[in-house]
Amino acid sequence: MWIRRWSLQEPGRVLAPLPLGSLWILPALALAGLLRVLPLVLGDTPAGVDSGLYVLYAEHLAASGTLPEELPHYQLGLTRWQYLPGVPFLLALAGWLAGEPPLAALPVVAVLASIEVGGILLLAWRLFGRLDAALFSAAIGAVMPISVEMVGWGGYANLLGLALLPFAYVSWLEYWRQPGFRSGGAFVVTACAVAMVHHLSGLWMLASVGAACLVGLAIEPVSSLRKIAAITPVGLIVGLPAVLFNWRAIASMGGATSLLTASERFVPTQSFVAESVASAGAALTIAILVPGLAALFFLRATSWIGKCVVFSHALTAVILGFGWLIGVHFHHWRALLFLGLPTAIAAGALMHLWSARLLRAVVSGALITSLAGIAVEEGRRVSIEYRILSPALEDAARWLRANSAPDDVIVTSNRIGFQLLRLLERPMMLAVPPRDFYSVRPAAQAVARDAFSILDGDREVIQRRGVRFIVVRAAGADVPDPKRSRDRLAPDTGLTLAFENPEVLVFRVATR
Amino acid sequence: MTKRGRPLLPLARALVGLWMAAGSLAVWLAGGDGGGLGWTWAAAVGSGAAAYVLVVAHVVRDIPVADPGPGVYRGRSAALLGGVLSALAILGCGPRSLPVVMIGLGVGATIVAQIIVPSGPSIGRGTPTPLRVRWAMLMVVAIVVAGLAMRTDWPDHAPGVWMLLSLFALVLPGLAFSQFLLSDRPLIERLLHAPAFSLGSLLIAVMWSDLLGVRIAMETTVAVGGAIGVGGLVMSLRESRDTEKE
Repeated sequence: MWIRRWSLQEPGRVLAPLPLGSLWILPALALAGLLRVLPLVLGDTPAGVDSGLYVLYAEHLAASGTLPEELPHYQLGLTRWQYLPGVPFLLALAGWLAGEPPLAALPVVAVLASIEVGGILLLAWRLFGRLDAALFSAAIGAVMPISVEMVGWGGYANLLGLALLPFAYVSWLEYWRQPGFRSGGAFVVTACAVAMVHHLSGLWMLASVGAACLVGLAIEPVSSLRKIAAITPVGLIVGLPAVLFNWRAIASMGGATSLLTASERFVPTQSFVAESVASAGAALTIAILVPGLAALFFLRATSWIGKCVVFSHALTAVILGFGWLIGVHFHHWRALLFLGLPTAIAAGALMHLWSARLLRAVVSGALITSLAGIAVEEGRRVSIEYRILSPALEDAARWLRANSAPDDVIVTSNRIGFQLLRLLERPMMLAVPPRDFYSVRPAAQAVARDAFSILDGDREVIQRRGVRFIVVRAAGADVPDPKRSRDRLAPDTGLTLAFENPEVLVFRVATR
Repeated sequence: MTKRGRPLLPLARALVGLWMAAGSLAVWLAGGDGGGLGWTWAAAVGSGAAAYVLVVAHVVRDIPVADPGPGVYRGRSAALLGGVLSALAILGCGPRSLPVVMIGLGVGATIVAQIIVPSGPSIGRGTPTPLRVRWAMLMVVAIVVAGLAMRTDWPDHAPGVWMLLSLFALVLPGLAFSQFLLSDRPLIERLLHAPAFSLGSLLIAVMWSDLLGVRIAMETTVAVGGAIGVGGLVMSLRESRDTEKE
């Protein structure tokens, strides 16, 4: 009896094809694109921090036709590219198609949003077999405020990874239900897509699918082992380049052991996680996620294997996001981004609670409206806060290029630094906090620490590093706080304010 | 215990729903960001209580859902609620601007979609969409022609060009894959899967090319992707014609 109850086979009924009514997904697809594109269109110039590096990579790819490994100017050339080619390739391709540079293709993120919402619809349909619940999941996925924030700071790889994850899960569930050449092929292609976009997305997929495999092995060992044994070699061969890339990336970080145990590198993320949680979007996410997952747990229409995938995805996010609360060393604030998918699925599970149509309409209407309203506010906020690339910054870069030698060392704060790297071919020291710094090479980390010291006015470090220019924002936010840097640097008699415009200040270090 | 034996449970479920509806509007309209962790704690406590209702009371079962009402009633209630809430969304977002108005309309349409689709389990009742491969081909051809025309005649409209041609690059190769890998699924599912297959296949090709030392030219990528897509669609068209003849 209990074996039957715990059977991993999905009920055949969930395999009903999507009905024509699923075309009602179109408003949600459009809504997702409109919301995601807000940070890029609300200001005079597109908002973005990390986007500078993605565009730099894409420009190199489009020009040379190779995936770059060396990152010559970042942290005095002591680091290498750790990006997978997913997003840069997309930018390069879209730019080439339009006959424009990759920078002009940034709004392609609107397309990514629609892809993600379509994937959520498919996953929710597979889990629930009920169109209203699937559409509600997709609608909640479309209006998640955290996705708008991601576009704001330029987390395109995370966005693309999140867009592709539901497809990998759907394909894997289909493969598990009916192993075969076609279902296996679909999983391999989608899983490779996820693994070739972002390390974290690959980690989530591996954790979620791996946990479900373990449950499968525990309940149906023989058939599960067959399924795993059949797909693993194919996946490893097709995805070999991604496997090798990630292997090299982990090795450059000092190895997996160092990565998972170097807790001091992640301590600053605790305060960042706390900041992220104190928001309206986070409050609504919790309000949907917790009761929704409880509902999903008891939902008999959903197979246990499907639940395993969703719960292990959510659990991975919680452990890696809040692991410091229970003593887990490795944790990263970007884990919070991955709660969007389980929240959307949890919303669909909630739809099973209420039989009264009016109540369902009121709840879904209120949640969609509130989340969309918060997302719009978020779009407005980040379009101002993360507006880094501007004519003023480009003007400053032109001045620096004209007034510096190729080997002059330039120190910049975090956000403008990521854009200046693309605009200026000079050795740079960026004040990058440990939460965003992926290299564990001691020399590179020392450069980042020294950049913070220099922006704090440490004269000795300026001399020791042979710095020639220091670039600080004249207005707006950055890391470290630009006002503090300005206050510390301005009185220094060894520095001259050599260039100034409403957004950027450039201090020149006097030579002895 | 039968349902009749615990009459408070439907009420508890309804209260969970009303708490979510009222609470979400309150968090948004009151500006949750200004309250620090207050709203988050309130949501955590409320959601914990809601989960308690669901977990401890074991209320989540195969709950019978109401039969869909008459179409006219559904349409009217959907339009009313969608209109009211989207107006609220627009007004709550401050000064009107085109993106916000469009988003408001999107919110309204999304809410209408929630109400107007059939409720209850669609399991076993789903029917394949009557869309056919030829329509997909027509759409793709239209996108490509429009994109090429825009690139040639309106070079200043780069966003429109990349959007159309990105669809070409993102959908067409994947559609060929989904025609083959998801042959038993309706066209709408294949279309939804197409971008993931497109990106997956293109990225596999790009990373393998780099590993083997082959130069990654955008022209070659688009040509190969287009050839795969058109080839796959032509084969599918022939297959569907054969099926129709039979």
